[in-house]
Amino acid sequence: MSDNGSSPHPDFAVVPPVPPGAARPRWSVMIPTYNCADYLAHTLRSVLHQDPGPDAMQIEVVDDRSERDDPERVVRDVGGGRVSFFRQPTNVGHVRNFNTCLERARGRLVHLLHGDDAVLAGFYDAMAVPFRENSDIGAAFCRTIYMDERGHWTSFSPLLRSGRRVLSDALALMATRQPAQPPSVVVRRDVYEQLGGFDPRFRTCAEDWEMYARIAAHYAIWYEPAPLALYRRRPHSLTGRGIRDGQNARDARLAIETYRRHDPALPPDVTRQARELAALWMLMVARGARDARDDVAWLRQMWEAIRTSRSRPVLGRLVRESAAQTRAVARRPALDRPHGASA
Amino acid sequence: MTEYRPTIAAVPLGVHRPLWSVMIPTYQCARYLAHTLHAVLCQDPGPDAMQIEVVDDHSTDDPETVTRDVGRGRVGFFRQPANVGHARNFETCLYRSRGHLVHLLHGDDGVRDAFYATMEGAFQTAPSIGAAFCRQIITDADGNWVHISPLEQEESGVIEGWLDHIASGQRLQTPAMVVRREVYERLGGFDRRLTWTEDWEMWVRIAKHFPVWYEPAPLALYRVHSQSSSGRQINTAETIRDVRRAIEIIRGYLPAERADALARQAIHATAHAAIRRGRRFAASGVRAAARAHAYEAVRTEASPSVIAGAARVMLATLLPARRPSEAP
Repeated sequence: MSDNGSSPHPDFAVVPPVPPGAARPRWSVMIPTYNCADYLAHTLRSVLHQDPGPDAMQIEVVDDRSERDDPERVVRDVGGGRVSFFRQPTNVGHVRNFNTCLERARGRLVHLLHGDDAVLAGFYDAMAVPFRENSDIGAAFCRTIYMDERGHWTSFSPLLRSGRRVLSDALALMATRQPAQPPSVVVRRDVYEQLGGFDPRFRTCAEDWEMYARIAAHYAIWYEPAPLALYRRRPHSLTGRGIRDGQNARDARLAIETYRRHDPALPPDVTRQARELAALWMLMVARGARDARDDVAWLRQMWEAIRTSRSRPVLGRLVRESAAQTRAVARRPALDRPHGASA
Repeated sequence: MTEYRPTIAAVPLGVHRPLWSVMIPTYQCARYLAHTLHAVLCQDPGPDAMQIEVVDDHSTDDPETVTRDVGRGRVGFFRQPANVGHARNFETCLYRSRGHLVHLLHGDDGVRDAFYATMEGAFQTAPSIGAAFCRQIITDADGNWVHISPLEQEESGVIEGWLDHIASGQRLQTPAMVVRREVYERLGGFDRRLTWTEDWEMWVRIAKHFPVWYEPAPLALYRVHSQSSSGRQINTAETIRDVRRAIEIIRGYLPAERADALARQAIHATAHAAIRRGRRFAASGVRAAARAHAYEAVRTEASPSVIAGAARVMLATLLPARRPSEAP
């Protein structure tokens, strides 16, 4: 369980307790946004459909100073006064914006729901149950429905266990499978107070992966096999500078390094599998780069994958991906074909 | 109507006709039936607007008690005097339906909230359609969601090029489909030559004669479990032979210039499905079923890729099983 009340590690943001006397609803639904106002109405409606009222649920949009759209208007139009709005004075980056969400949360259970994701009916009822029944539980997550840009469902996250229950091997699962997507996770606020907030060293991704493994190392984790959370996968979120310069890979390795350092009990097997998972993910990103004809990103991701893990599945897929890229480049019209190396 | 296609007579004049007939065929699935009935009763618009009836194929697990306990008088119950097989039981469902829109909902499948309201909207918007179907979620025996059917079209509406598409392979599950009773009256019931693919043949027949509506919201749930009739027939590869029979029947519905190409696609897809299933049987150590599927794959399409795939399945049955698990 949690350690002896000492403050969290200096790498992690401090989440101060809610000041005494403040009203404390059961739920804080904190909705970070950045240039995703088009999706925000869907997100808010999915929460408001199951709104138990302001005494039981805080709902707040925390905007990281979007410059392309106006989330405040959506909050006003859809929220009708029920949803509060906070705007960062300057753009702070997504990890710091998440930490602002945690600080501003007053409820006992925090649901960090990105402004382009959503929940299905019954999410809050189902996810409140484990915390009522078992005080050891620090976090709970359900299965995730992946959706595309237009909100069409594409797949479900794998079924880990049949039946809702405490996961007996939560740390290994969280570290090696990454089974939980942010909208599917609910965390007790005092867990963040104990263990700290998100680690601002993460720049592109994997801050959530590190967080869930950190929580699993200290608290029991509850699993709900019903897919009640919707996670939007957008093709362009897999491109851009972070992919070309390999920042995503550095972040993934930082996550593994961080929980290895903070949890000495972690078996070496777990870190090896976590590296393999990270490398397979980089190969998936490389595949996306191949489809987008971003050869720089492709080469970078291949290189980062082999730096991260050389397990058999990784090497096997690396070979297949190289062959596929060779074929893809050969099929391009001559004018498109770069001279010399693809980088 | 041919000798293979039962005539579905019009509902006699003077009989009250609700908008909906939710006909629930059951066979040895009483443990799932309560769930199915709840899913319908949650959206029940009342007996004037919806007939709900369980049609049991002479099960031994007492679906009547479930119907009484959950249905509380709202759900009708009919029991076949002897077991007739699921295709014939579907036929009885059609005979007994009185509504304008028929939903065949097998007693182990389900619907999500708003299924009936959404599908009703389709028939209101486009009165010329003969049938409408939505996207489906495939669940395991315990009801856990595992897959989702492919997205056929981004928006709801009459689906373009549907005849060619559905003729080239079965791609939807029965609980997703709602058909106007009048369509069955015009085209006849399920083809009696088929025991497993009777639904597919029917969807193609409807596609040939009527526009079909597609709803991209996944509102129907299809349960896969080893006790289901599909589960039982899969073991013997009888299903593959049945698909071949259906392909021959369907060929007759297609315009001559495209019939061969579409039938070839269906044959190709069937052979590869047989190999995939054979591979899963081999991996879980059910060797006889794996070999039966390898043979049927080659009988379906003797192409190099199928022969190679079948050979791999045969080899795999000689290796020790990797994981002991349920049949696929």
